[in-house]
Formats: sequence, C-alpha cells, structure tokens
Amino acid sequence: MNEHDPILAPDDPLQSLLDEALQPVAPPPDLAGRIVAATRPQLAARRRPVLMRIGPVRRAAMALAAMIALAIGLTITLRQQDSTTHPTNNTTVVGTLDVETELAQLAMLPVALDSTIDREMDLLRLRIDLAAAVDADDLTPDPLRESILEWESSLYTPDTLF
Amino acid sequence: MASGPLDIPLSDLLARAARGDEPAWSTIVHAYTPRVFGLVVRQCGDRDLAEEITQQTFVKLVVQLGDEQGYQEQGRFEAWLFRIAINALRDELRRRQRHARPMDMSDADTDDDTNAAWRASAARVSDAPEPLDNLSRQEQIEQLRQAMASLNDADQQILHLRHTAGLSFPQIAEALQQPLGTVLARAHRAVAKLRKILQDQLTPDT
Repeated sequence: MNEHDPILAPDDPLQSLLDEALQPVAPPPDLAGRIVAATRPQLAARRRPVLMRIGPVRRAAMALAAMIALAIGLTITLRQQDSTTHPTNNTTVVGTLDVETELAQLAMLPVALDSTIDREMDLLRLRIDLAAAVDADDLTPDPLRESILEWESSLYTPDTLF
Repeated sequence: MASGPLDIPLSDLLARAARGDEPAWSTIVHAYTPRVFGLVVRQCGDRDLAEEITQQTFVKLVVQLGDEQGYQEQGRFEAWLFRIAINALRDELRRRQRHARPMDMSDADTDDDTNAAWRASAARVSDAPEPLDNLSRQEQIEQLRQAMASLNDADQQILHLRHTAGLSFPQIAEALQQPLGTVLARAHRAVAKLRKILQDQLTPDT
C-alpha cells in the first residue's frame, strides 16, 4: 500500500502485516447506492440556478430592498416632473407668444410705410391732446404730462426725423 | 487511492458533481465509500455508526462541493474528505456520549478502562474468514491488532489513516491539520512501539 513509506522500509515485514491487519473493512454492498439516493436532493439543488439556491428569508429581503429602491426612484421622478416640467411648459407657452408678437412688430418696422408711421404719430398726438384737454383746469405741474410733451417735442427735432 | 481506478480524472468528476451531475457523483461515492467506511469502522468499532458517519460525510461533501466557502479543487480532495469523516465521527461520538471516545489529540497518552474497551472493540473487527492454511499469519495479524489496541488514540489514528485509508503523510497532516513533522514523529513512535510489542509476542522464547 505504501511503497515509499519513510517510516517503514518496503521490505519490512511489519509493512505488509500492517497493510493486511488494517485493511479497510468492507462496507455493506448497498451502502454507496443508499448514499447516492440520500444525497439526491442536495445534488439536485446544485443543478438549480444560483438565484434559486438563495434561501427564502434572504430572497424575501432582497425583494423588499428592490421594492423600496423602486419606490424611492418613482417618488423622485414624480417630484421632478411636478416641480419643473409643468411650470416650464406654461412659461414656455406664454413666453413664446410674447416673443412672437414682439418679433412680428419689430419685423414690420423697417418695411413700414411713412404714411403708416405718420398715422401712428397722429394718433399718439391726438391722445396727448385729449389728455392735455382733460387736465387743462389743473394748474399743478403734472410730471406725466410734462414728460409726454418733452417726448413729443423730441420727435420733431431734426435729428430724430426720418 | 480510490477503491478502484477512476476512468475519468478526479478533478473532472468533482467539477461535474459540483454542477449536479449524478453519474459523476455516483462514481465518486462508489470509489470512496469503502475507504471512508473502512476508516470509520476501524476507529469506532461500530458498523452501524460507521454507516451513519459515512453517509453524513458524503452529505456534507455534496453540500460544500464547489461552494465559494467549501471545497475548491486543488488536488487535496482526499485529505478534505477524510477530515470531514474524522470530524463527523468525533462530533457524533461526543453527541452520543458513548463509552467509545472520540479521537482526542490533547490527551493522547492517557489510558483508562473505557479507552481500552473501545480499542478492544475496534481490534475485534475482522472482515475475512481465517484461512486454515495461513493460520500463523492470521495469528500474527491478531497479535498486531492487539498491539495496536495498546497504542494511544492519536497513534492509532495515524496508522489507520496510513494503512486503512491509504493516505500519504502530507495528506494525513492536512487531514489532521497538524504539522507534517508531528505526524511523522507520531507514526515513527507508533511503529516502534508496535515492533517492540510484536518482538516480545512473536519472537520464539529465547
């Protein structure tokens, strides 16, 4: 049994005597078969995927953790939509309309006819005259009226005429 | 050393068994059951207990085979297998609190009536009919078994692992988790004791 025994030389009579005296006792003939049958459930468990080998308690804990993470993610997403998405849309719509009106008016100025500009100025002058007539009895200095008159006079300076 | 030569390398069988391959697992069980059972029955002298321990050993084996914290094939399968068997026997004997004591390495040199009875029980285990034409040889073997019974538990265990389980001394050291030098010293001491006892018993009167 032990060809290179450092304790016993191969030709030592005690070597063969020990091998013979201590040889394994034969097991019952069906013992190995019974062991294979008894270990079949454990062997079948080895064929299951790794996730399926996780115990039920640990699996439940993992599922709970996943649900909590999902709930936190959903909450954060919904809050972001409430605080940013809707106001942004409203502002965008209103702002867009204002900007478009301004742009349209500005775009018309270079091509506007002189008559059109004259008509606008006449209308403005008329509104100033009406305002002045209403306040004719009032002798107190009116900052608004003075600023309007000042502005009107500036329109007729040579530098500002077309 | 398996009870029979394995057609497939042991490492391949272990890898397949770790994936749940029943034919590979069955090959391993059939190859190693005689040696595990033989060692355990030599140590405890109880065939029923040896069957139970052998089965426990293989149940633990299949559970740990290939696990991250279990056995990883590094050519040390036999030492690992017999360590499982030795520990299972020790734990079971402690649990049952029988007279047959577990292998206790701490009080290896002690001896008492219980221990002597256990050794005698182990020494009585015999599996072959006595051939009439080899009576003197059989007598020598019986003398050797009686001499074995006078050794302490640790020395007996090493000789059983060597000559019954067929492990090398490095494998024995790994199975017992002891330094190789300690194992060799114990084996040398056990053989010296046996030789002296046999010389006293077998040498014709001088």
